Amino acid sequence: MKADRCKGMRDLLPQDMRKFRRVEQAFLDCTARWGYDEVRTPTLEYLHLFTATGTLTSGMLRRVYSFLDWDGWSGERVVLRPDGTIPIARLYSENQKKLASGISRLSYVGNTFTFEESGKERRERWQCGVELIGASQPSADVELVLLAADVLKGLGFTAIEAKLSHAGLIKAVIGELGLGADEQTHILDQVLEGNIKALGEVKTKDANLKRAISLLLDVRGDSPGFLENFRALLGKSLPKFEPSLRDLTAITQLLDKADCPYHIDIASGRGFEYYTGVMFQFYVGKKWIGGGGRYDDLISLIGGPDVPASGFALYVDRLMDLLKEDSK
Amino acid sequence: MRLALPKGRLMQETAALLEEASVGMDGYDGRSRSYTLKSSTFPELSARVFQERDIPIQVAIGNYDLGICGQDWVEELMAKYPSEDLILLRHFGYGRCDLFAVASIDAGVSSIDGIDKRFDRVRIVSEYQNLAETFALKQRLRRFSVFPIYGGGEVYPPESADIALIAEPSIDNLSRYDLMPLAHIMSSRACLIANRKGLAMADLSQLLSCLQEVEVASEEETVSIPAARSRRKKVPAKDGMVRLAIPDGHLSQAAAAFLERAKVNIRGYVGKEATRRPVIDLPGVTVKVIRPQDMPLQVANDNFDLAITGEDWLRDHLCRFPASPVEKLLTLGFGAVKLVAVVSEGMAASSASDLKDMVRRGLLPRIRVASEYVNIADKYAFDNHLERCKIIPTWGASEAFIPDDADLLIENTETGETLKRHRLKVIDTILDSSACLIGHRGALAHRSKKDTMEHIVSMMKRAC
Repeated sequence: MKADRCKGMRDLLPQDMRKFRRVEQAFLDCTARWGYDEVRTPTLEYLHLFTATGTLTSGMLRRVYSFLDWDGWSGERVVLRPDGTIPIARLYSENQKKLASGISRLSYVGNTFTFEESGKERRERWQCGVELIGASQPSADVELVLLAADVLKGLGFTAIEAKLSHAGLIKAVIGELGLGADEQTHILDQVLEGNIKALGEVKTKDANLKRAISLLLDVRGDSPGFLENFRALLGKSLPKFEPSLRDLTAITQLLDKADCPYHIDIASGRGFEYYTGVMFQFYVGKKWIGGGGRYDDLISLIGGPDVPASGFALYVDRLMDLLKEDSK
Repeated sequence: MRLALPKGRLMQETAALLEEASVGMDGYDGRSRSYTLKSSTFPELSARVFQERDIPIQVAIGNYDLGICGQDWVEELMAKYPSEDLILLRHFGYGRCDLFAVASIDAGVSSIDGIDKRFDRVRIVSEYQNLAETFALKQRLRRFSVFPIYGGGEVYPPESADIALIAEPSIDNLSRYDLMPLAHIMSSRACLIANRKGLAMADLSQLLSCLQEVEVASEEETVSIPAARSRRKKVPAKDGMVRLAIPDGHLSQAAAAFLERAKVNIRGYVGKEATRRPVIDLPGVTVKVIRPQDMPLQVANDNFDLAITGEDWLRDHLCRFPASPVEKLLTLGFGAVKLVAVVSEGMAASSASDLKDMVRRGLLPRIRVASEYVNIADKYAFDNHLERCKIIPTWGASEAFIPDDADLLIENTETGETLKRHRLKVIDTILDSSACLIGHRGALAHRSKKDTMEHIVSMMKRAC
């Protein structure tokens, strides 16, 4: 009888663990220098933590590992953590008094579980992430981009790229399309799952909006000037875009001051429904290795205080694949 | 060629369809008790009769090339386990039913929107557990519980559930149960399904062309949910009422006779006037008729205080939830069955350890255990250290699974006759089960319910 590994799961051999620890240590050392304290949340959480927020897409919720616990006769399910940020938001909300007052800078290394049908992709993924809770200024988002770049530099990577998008902008466009609530959610889910084309497929008679969508999907830029152009073209006719454009402009101006390169690519905006502001995706070369964004409503949605927050996660498995087998 | 055919509501019309298609499936008429059939037209075609909801599973895992069942059960399977191996080939015109999410007209709910603001936790009951969960996620209910049930979903709202997902032949039926539709989930008809690999590898063309030629009257009746109308206001349940659940199905006649002996008078339980909400002549007590399989979970969730069920179903519940607040109060004596582990007569095994040896010696790749009692089967496999074991949940007619689709069956038997007829032999007795009265520990400690509950228990005790 041959005993084999569960589908979609991965063994880490000594050479893999060396890489794993290298990534983890570089991350923890760097984030500690930036003032982030490490925390850990349990692997099991109640399913309602993730449904209550209404902020994981239904496609994602259908792929969680959920089951009834041994005392689960009430029918309430528990899940193997499918996401890193929502549990941290719960941790913050539950332990606020025990955490440092004011701004909380929290870091974590943990695994997440998502079902993937073929079993060829990984169903368990390790990520290292940070959450910056209590700061609403563009400077907080910039801190996160700089921190991510610092972690990656610490691992010896040079071809680091940050792509910026904005959830507020995408939601504003969808909101202007005149769709029903269900359809809006459906389109947003598709966009956040990486299918930005879904936005272009929605038919609208509004010429300004058509132009806005086309610009959103097709044009990419590397400076606040690009956003100013965008605002000049659309801001006046579509005032609902204005706050998001202003926010993104402020972030890019600060990144310029810090001499940190970036690309504005609204179409790169994949992520979670809980994002409310800027979204970032990180690349090493052409490989996507993580992302994050601003989620100002999440903590209050799970019953905590009304506190702004943003964060990012880097995927350990992806970084390990990029590391050379050279460290002991 | 292997074909899975349904028992129950679709059987008669499926038999007529096969006759029209000249498939020549002798013995598939409801009169025969055989679950294994051969075709007089296609000598290489073998068919098995299953409970309808087992059929998509059997076809998806490749035990059968083709199957006929309601589309509702196909969608139920696909909602949780989207399988590329299961293909819907065509619909037939019969077996129409519609699946609705419903609430009681007494619940004061007018639409699905905002229902989760009204309830801290939305309680959903359904035979379609996966579709119910998908529905809840799609509606973005913030906090919900899905209670799987074996049937009788219409009787749960409003006291025992906030929403039920039930299948009905017509939307008009709902008002009979004082229910209002909140959403139309799907329309279902009998359909032909296939296993993708079966289609790719076996020559099914002759059978398929026979089935494909059967004409179906095209009826695409759409179902629309009526706009919210004025609802009755919820009548709050009186505090301290004892809620008793009594069984439907094969236990009901014996339970009615027992209750008569116990001088517990219930009008409308059995016979022509039977209803799921009969009337009991004991003050402070309400009664509902539900499936005995569902009772332990319902009592555990404080939807009922007392219930008459089988010890087998109580054991199954406690295997799953060892710390459940449900306990047995009385053994009632009727409905006695043995819960046994059985294998095919032809199998060289007379114990669970023989089965293990067969796996070790490479004679069996794994032990496939089929049972309606999924949790007892799971625990049996654990307790007997059955390695390489696969539990196959079934919804009845489990004898049909052995030997082709399962190696071991955990099944109840009253006289042993059915087992003999299907050439099965008992290798283990797990439980001597009979009807019992169960209760919720919390309710027994409830000051306002205690006296009434003790009174009912003492009446039943005298009749045991």
